[in-house]
Amino acid sequence: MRPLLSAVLLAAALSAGAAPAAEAERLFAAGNEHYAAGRFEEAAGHYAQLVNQGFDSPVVRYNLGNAHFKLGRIGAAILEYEKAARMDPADPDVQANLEFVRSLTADKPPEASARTTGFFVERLLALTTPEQDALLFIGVYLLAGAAGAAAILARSRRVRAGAVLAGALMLPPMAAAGGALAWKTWRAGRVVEAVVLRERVDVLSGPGEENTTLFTVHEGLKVIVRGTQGSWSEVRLDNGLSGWVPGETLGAI
Amino acid sequence: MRGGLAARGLAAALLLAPAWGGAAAQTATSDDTVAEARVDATQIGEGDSLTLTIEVRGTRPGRVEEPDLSGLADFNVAAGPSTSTSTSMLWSGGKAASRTSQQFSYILLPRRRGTLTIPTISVRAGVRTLRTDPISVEVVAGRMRRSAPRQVPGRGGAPGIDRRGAAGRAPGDVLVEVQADKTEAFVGEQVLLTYKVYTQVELVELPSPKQLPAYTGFWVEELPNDPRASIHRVTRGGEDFVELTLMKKALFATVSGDLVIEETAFELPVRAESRDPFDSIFFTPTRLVERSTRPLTIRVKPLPAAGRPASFTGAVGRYSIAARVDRSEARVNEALGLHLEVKGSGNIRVVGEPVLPPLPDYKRYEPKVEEKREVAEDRLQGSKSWDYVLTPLAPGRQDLPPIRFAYFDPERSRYVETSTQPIEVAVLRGEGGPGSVAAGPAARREVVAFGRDVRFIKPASALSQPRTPFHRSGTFLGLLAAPLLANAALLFAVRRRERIAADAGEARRRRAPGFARRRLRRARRMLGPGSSREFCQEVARALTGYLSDKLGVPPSGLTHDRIDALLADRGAPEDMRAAVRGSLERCDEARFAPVQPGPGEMRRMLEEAEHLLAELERRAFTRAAPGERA
Repeated sequence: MRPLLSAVLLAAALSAGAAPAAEAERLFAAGNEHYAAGRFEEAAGHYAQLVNQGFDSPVVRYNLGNAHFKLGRIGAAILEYEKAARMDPADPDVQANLEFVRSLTADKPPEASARTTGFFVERLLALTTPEQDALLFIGVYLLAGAAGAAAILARSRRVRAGAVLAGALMLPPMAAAGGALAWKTWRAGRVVEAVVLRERVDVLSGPGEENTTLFTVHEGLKVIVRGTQGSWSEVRLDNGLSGWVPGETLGAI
Repeated sequence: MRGGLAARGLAAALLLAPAWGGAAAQTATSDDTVAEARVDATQIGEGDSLTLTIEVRGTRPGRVEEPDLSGLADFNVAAGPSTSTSTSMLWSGGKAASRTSQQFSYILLPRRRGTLTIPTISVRAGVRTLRTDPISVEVVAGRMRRSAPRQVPGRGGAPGIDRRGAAGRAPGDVLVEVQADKTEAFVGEQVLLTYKVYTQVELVELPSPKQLPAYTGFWVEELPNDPRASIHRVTRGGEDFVELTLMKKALFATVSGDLVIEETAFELPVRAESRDPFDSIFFTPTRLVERSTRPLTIRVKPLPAAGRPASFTGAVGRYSIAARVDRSEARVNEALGLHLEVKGSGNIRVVGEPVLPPLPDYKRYEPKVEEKREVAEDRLQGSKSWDYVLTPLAPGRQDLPPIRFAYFDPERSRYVETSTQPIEVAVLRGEGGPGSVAAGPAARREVVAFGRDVRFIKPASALSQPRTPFHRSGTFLGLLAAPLLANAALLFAVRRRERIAADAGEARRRRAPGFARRRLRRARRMLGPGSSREFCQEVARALTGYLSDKLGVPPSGLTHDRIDALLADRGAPEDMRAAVRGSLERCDEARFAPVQPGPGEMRRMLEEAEHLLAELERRAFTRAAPGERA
């Protein structure tokens, strides 16, 4: 089993640390130079160009978020930080800036209504990223595979029973990690989250200006997009409030 | 009627200490009782009022009736009379004599400009009728006196309108009004409300509101007001009225929107007609009239969010800020006083504490706050001060940076930021000598952040190639499949081994040619003199071992006859069976015979055995018969 594990680690290392293309490096360095000189608009332009060229990495999103923040666009800054956090949730800088810029928004993030069990499960699921779930799952899965192999090869009855027991012990964590990964993958395909980009947006009762204003949201608030109709998006807040806003006022994470 | 009592007391007190200017006229009677008329000014403005006092004094004046003012053509009586009586004792020639003085005071309003005359006024005192001298008063345009009468006459102590007019014609009009100095204001801006009475009839007492409105959405401050000082004449719709300011309030809106000041009802005690003349001598006949102000809407605008400085703490109006320290030199850990004062006009109560800049080298204690308020020209103003105690924590130049203070100026509709001058402070080392930076470990402090910003951008070295997440990569899928495939292969291999192990007979059959060949090779190595016996044994074993394995029969039970029978069962031809038997018998003979076979003989035996084995294997007579597996 040892050669197999080494192969896993090698593959992970290879997929993580490939060197960036020279052009991307040049754009990024130029963006950083503009930023350091206080030319935030130019810096944002360079970072955005990188993203448009398909070079989408948490580091680029982070720097782009900073440039937006310095230009006073806190909604856009939060959007970029959120995207960076999706890709690299463990980055403490991303989390710190996200927390700081969120503290400057007008709307207090709505508290999820007290659905005890569901709320608890959500909190638990939020502790790990899909990637971490996948790593945990594959680790336990390989151990279970090794236990299976040991059971197959065992000559004595006792060794075989021990291997089967070890394999059985791997099943609950494997099911948990696998379940979490499956749920998150399914959810990511269905739940679209977005950030309010305008200073103030009225949320209406239907898709059209003629509808009643139900409530108002402000720049930087994270909402869930439930669907769209024409240029209008139906949004929902964590506290259950929902309504329609023009699509251009939102930035999908 | 409590207002009436208060007013009466006030009037009496003022009458006892008059500071009379102007002219006096007096008429003596046959005894020592005299009547005198006085005014407090001989030149007034058209809008001013004039106080007329008629005094009757003497040792025995008798009952003094109210003076007859019917001849007063150039003036209206705005209020009065208020009466007062004083008696003094005189000792003359061992005899006590008392002198009594009775005064009637009126407030008069001129009817026109020019030189007006207060004519001779007659007063009945006992059986006598006394007359005062006429007085000339010059009335010029406008107002000359800022504050109106210092004393307020009137029997009820309250102002009123021309009594003759009231007596002579139907009672005139009276109304109350609330006036705001502006109908549109910012949140926190002062709105001055003035409640006024316009009357054509005599008011016996000061009117009082039945109930004040709630002033919802406003912070209300009562402003000082002297209703008596506010009396003057106005013309409304071509008619003359006496105007009187009842109360003033400074309102500060706390919320934005259209705020309504509800109507306020007043009860106005006005002089009523009485048929009983006696009544009107001793009491003032009064009736209550109720009047209400109209509701008033103030449009309150919110303070603009744009351009709001960080140092804005809620002050609306016009302010200035000043700071000073109690000394410019201090030692480490010695207290230093910082006095910060904001003053100006506006609602000083809501002015928040200015945001002090970070003072990392000082320990700061909660300030002592003091507030002074005053009213000037109906505007609320004042000052608020914060006294901080600062203790310097490190020696050196520890200057206090400018302290910013922003307020919203409603007149200019914008925020204004002011600041104090920086203050120089030199901090000397503490008592512990040149080495001591701070006095003991208690003075050491945590390093704390006082600025906030986003963390800085990531350097180019942090850039890495974007990658697909692990759970979407081929590696993940490969790793998912690997244990499955490996274990399946392992299981197949183990199962096959087990199956093979379980079938021992098959194994023996499979192994039989190999073993036989090995024995024959060993026999070949024994070719030669001296080991012919072992040679023959080896050849015989090769043959019987092969047949034993192939036929699944233990070697011990294999006699030549049995071999023959078993081979016959498997359809081996006669010549072959004879060859096998012959070969085995020759081996036995050679093993047990006294004469050993020669090398040629041995070679022939070996070749025969090899040929037989090959033939048996080729023709497969030794394939297991059904039911014969071991």
